[in-house]
Amino acid sequence: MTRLHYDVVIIGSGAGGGTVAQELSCLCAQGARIAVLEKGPKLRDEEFTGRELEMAPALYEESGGFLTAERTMTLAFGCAYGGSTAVYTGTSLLPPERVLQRWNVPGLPFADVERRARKFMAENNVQFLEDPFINDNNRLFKEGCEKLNYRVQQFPVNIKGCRGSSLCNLGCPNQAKQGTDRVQLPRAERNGVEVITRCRVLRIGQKKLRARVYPKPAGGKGEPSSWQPGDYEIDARIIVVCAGAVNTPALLLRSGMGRQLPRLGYGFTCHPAIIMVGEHSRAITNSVGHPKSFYLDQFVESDRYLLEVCMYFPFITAKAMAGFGHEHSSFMQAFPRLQMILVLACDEVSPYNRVTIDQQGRPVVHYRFTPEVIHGLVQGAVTSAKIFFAAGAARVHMPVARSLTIEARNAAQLDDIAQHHDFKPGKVPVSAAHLQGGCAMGQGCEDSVTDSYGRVHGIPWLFVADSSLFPNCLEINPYLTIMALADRAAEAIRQELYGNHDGQ
Amino acid sequence: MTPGPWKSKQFDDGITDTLVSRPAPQHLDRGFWFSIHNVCQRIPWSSTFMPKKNVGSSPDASAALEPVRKIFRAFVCTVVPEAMALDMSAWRELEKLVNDALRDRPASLHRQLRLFLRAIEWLPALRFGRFFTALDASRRTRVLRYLQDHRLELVRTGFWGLRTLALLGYYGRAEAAREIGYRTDRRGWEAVQ
Repeated sequence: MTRLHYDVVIIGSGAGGGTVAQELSCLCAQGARIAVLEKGPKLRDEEFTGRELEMAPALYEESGGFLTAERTMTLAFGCAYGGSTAVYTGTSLLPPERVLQRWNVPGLPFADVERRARKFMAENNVQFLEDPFINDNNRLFKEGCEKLNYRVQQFPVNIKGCRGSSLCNLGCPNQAKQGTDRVQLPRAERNGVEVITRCRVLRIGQKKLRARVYPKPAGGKGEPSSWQPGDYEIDARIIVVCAGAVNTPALLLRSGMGRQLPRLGYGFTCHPAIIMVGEHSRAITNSVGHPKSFYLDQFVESDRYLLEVCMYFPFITAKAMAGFGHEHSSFMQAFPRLQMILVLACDEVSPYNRVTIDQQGRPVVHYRFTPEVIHGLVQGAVTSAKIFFAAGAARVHMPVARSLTIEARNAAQLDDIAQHHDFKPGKVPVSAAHLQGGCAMGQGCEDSVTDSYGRVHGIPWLFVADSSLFPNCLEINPYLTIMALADRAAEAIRQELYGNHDGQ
Repeated sequence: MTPGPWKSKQFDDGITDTLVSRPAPQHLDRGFWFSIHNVCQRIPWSSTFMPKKNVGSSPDASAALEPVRKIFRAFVCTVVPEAMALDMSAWRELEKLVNDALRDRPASLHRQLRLFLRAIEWLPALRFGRFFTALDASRRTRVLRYLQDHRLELVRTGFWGLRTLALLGYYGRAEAAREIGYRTDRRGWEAVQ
């Protein structure tokens, strides 16, 4: 057992951990020792090959196939240097004011969160993709929406030198996406923060934690850890948990904090999503260009769903479509003609949906689809089909209908074809990548886990700074909001350590 | 304030060691196979295939599908009809991808996978009087559709898990990606022009 001491230990290096690392790195000049412990590896640039079955095990937790306890939904979240920012598409939306008002967290003014989010928009080079670089898959979504008079909007994305490989979700092979792996973590390291990869935190104790460093597996991707493989016990004045909405609650639970924090693990939401596929009669550009340029959020308030353009890879696409056999294959064979839309349901906090741990301390996510979520997914599927047909699609794969294929001639009957009772969990493939909640911010232990700065109730040296802080679903892509909240946590930590906000 | 009751438990209950010595599953959930196990326990004829508790260590990954290869191939050909045209080397590649996904899984998971495939083999014997592998494509499809649409969520999720493995093996191959016209290049637009 190796014993070490740090002033601050940050667990996780994603949007939360990377931000906290950068925002505290100014303290290194004053002699502070800061470490980031990341469970996943750090890949070399040339190791981003874009090959689906090669990259998924290297960059995702459980290869992107983490299943809920009910086995009806797959959760995808990153496990690498940069966390999920290594595998997202870089869509950069400000938190909606209505959502923060609904959260109603004491001491969390919208203006403060927005100001900080804008700071990271500038820092991470957020911009609109220029028109010549928008592919047909995105252009057809926009055209379909406009024909239907929907209020389609363009995503700002955090890119620099994007070549349009369309491989964002497998880690950008051109280092164009400006996640924490490209911006905040390298800056933090230059300032003196240590980042230790392949390091899993097993348990948190009284101002200390136990971690285990793993050797690089034979044939595996990434650099070896900078620490020798083995067990470590690390003392820290401050511990910041940024392991994401599944692993952060699980770590705190297996550290025995559940009794003291009765809301720990509760309030899990994730924007459950289904992938819709429309087939055109001609080839379109879909596997080249940035995959996600437009979205439609006008039905968030009324029907609780959001539509986004998406584009995936052969296995993920095949898995995401319902059914099997000739009907399924005929869509796959038409891959160059496929247009795709992601339907995300805005799921509210539900008492059942939560994170627990099993007997071995591993995270278990319990999730049941509420009637509101099913309504959102079905209505979103119908709207997507309308957009496909308005854009000229010949047929649509409809996972929430008795017959999985809808021809253009039947487009007028869409509202009757897709029925709520045809949404069968376990038959309709549902996945989620916007994992939120489990360590919600709030007033006190009875309604939450942390205060508005991410400080765990009753444990002043322990902070949370990731999407598990969200008291309810955000209704948009979450990374900028995570960074803004992590920035607040860093400010509180600087205050705690040095008694001022800027670390001077 | 000092932490509550968890303080006394730190580092002394062995959870940490267990955590890292049992890799979590990929693509398939351990619970799924246990659930299938529970369902099959209710079916008298399936007791023949019940996995033995705690026997042996993790088997050779390449052998995970060996005893049920014929059934698995019939299943894959029903899920992806184009698989019927695969030659021996393509089948080897497909099965390697599946076995790689199952590598490092507990031996019990491999046994449960074989159990579920054998259940699929026997299920049509009740209805059609023939094993799954002896049915024509149309009847195989009916059997799998029955599982896919089953009223029990447990059965549907079981089918979904096995379907995922079949799709992974087939569409995970570079050749399959080429055949369906999936073209990607790290040079992006430059490669298209």
